[in-house]
Amino acid sequence: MTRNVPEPTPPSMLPLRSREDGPLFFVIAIIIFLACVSALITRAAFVSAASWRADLNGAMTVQIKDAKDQDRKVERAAKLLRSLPGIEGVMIYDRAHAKALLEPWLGKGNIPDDLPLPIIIGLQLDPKSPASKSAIQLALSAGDIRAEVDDHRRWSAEMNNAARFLQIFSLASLSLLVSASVAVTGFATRASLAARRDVVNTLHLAGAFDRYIAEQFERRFGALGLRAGLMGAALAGLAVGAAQLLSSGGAGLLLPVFRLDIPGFGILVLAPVLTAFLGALTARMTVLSNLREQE
Amino acid sequence: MRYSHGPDVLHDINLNLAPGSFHFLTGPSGAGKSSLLKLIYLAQHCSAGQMRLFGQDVDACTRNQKSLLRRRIGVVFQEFRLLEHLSVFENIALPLRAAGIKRESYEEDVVELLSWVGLGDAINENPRTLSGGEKQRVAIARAVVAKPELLIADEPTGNVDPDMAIRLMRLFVELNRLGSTVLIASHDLQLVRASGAPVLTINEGRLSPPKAPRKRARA
Repeated sequence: MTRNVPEPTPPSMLPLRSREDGPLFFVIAIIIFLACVSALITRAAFVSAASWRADLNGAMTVQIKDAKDQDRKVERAAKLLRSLPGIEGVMIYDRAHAKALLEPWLGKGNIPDDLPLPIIIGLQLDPKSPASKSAIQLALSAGDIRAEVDDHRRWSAEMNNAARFLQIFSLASLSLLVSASVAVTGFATRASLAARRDVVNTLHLAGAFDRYIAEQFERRFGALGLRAGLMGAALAGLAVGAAQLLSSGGAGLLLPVFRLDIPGFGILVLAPVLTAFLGALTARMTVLSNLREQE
Repeated sequence: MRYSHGPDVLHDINLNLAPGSFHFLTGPSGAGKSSLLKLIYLAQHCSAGQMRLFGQDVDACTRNQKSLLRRRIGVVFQEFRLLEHLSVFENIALPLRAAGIKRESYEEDVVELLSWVGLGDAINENPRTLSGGEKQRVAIARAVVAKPELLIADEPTGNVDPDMAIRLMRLFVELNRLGSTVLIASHDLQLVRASGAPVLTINEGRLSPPKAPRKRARA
């Protein structure tokens, strides 16, 4: 007599695939894509703000006011400034440099030689003990050089405000997106679980412990969260990579400074893991709460 | 007992099912038969009074203790409650798997039980492909597979032909002989009378005292 042999036991009590998983997968993937992009923008905002601050706080400019014998006075001023403590670098932006800056507006060869142009000396300050504006001004006066020292304080304050606004704005956007991710993932998971109430009820009445039932859903929704998170993070990586390429192609002034460096990759790797954890946790809490409500 | 914040659906229930007893539960539709069964198989809880199951005060039990009590009860649901994504074999083995029992320990028993209910060839079938009567037999096999101390069946013969109804009743009687307490809700008065088992009657949520058996339970 031939014996009927049952097929191998499936790993889970839940269906391998279900209609509800498709929309949930896409909702989570889209939310994670947005969250990843937002996190990378936030990081770019912080990096840019720090860079702007460092550039402004670590630099001063000196404009030589004497029009007579200007080139010689600039050379003398540069030599004097190089000898001052608290200054790491001195760079002369000479007449040729000033002309080059004006050329895009006035056209090449349209700048007359007798047009008075300011000669600027750029100073790179020692970040540990930077020279003060008054000390530089005093040294130049003592050297009989009439010059105006600009520590960019006005610009620096405005730039700091702009950087702070950018940071707060991007952090607030990220917080909102993360909150929305949690809420949407939770809501979608609950909706999907509601469709499998039959499994919960049958297992419950068969005497399964709550934790056993919760584990079935935890594994399922954790895996779903991981897959959707990977998809969202991969798309975000592609989008940011494309933005990075565009930035390097000359559109950089119009685009945020995206950097897909190690911390950037860290965000993309962490996002699916967190999504899986969130999916599993939401499923566990929802199942346990449903089971408690049943009685 | 009441559902959510609704009115009481069962009133002044005083019922003692002696271990190893066999009872039928009858009553008109909406009388409270299914509600009483839900109370006994721990799908609902009493809104007042006390319920003891296998000597334990149910209200004093933790959730895990209640789960352990449920494992001692086999239930045949009126609407079968088969999981359509699992095979017939897996549906029947569900209570054993949920209790953490290894497949090697129960595979033979489940296959044998399937043959006994006439579904030996449907072992790997999906319940969706089965007829109403076949689904009912799967539901019954699932309820008895763990050799429960208490077997509760809600209209277990409603969808099967008379021959199969007699065969299934024999299974219940056999389980009863092996020591299981059996409580069957049924509209089938002919079947109830033929069994000779004591009959509990419920009407408008109130339970009448059991009528004395006319003869020993036999099917």
